[in-house]
Amino acid sequence: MPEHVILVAGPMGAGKTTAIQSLSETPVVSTEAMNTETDIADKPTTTVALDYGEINLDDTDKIRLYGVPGQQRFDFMWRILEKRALGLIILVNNDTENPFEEVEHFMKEFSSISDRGGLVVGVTRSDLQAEPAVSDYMSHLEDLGLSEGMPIFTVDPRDKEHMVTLLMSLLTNIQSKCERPN
Amino acid sequence: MLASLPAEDDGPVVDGGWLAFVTYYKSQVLTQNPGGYHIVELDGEVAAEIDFAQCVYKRSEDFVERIGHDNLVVVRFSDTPSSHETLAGSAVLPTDNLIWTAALMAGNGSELPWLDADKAFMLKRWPNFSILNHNMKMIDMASKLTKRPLMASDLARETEASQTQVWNFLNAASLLAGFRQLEPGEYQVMAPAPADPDGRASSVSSLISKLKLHITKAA
Repeated sequence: MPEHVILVAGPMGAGKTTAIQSLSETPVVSTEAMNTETDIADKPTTTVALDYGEINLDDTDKIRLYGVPGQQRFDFMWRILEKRALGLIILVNNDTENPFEEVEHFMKEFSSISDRGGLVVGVTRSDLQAEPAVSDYMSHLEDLGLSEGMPIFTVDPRDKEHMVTLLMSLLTNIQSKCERPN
Repeated sequence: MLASLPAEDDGPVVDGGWLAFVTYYKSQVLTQNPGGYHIVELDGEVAAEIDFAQCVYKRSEDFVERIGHDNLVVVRFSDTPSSHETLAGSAVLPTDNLIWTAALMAGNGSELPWLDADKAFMLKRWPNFSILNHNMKMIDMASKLTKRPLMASDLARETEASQTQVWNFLNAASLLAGFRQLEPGEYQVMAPAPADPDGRASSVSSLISKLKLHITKAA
């Protein structure tokens, strides 16, 4: 069965686990442990390995969703996963201390996927923290030459429709990049 | 504060249909960014209040149901927020959501007055589709236009969209940041996309089709 791997990455507390739960049609395999870094994200548990979910398209095609833990100590997993990945969704919580730096960090860590056009950014928790706006992210990344033709949306990871829109935009962007690589 | 800022006793700043509304937005709001509040009436009843300076608006609970191509749209300027009960407790939404919808209503499938069918268009930024009425054709069109300039006819061909769908999208996108209408000398006509030697584009295309079908069935 052909498999299509989509990674979901981002800092702790961005909503990666929730996003995969919204998209997945199978119960999400989640690896949670007590969060000992509540100064970074005020939540009781955090993902310590991978979250995994699936979208079964038909008898022959499946989308595998992997939620990549956000802590740097898991970067060895990132190298393994990015080789298999068709695309990457970066989620960043708008109320984190340095959201621009977080996006830049993950874009650089997964630059090979970004070069293939397989990258979108979802800004979460913008209902709690309106600034920076999506336009601010775009301006910042444009100044760094990093955002050309990249979708950046505000999303609620609990909202399946938001996540489907983000996923479809990612795939469409990959398709357009494949058609005209230069 | 600019000298031409509307005043409360100047009468409506918009009194017509959605075309009058988007024309006012493009010619006045985008260029002058007025403060204050714009109270929107649809067919004689208060429906929304816009704070362009903060880029947000409030709307009545039945706003979506009341929207139509033939609305009589009247907009009045106010120095203070409206106390109309219709808007009490309303959620606050980004103005892009309203402007996008207004453009879809105003154009109704044909190009708005500031767009030229003989010119090419390009998007520097993707529309934030999470907050906008959208469909897969619009996502596809955004994907194409963020890669290279295209005329409306080429966009229709490459996305297999109708002229109506293309103009609806271009009309709405024309009011967002990052939209450009290009003069003939500003872009190169590109050859059709080359063949897909490694099959990757076809593979992704097939995946997208299956996902679309899957989502439609699940809905």
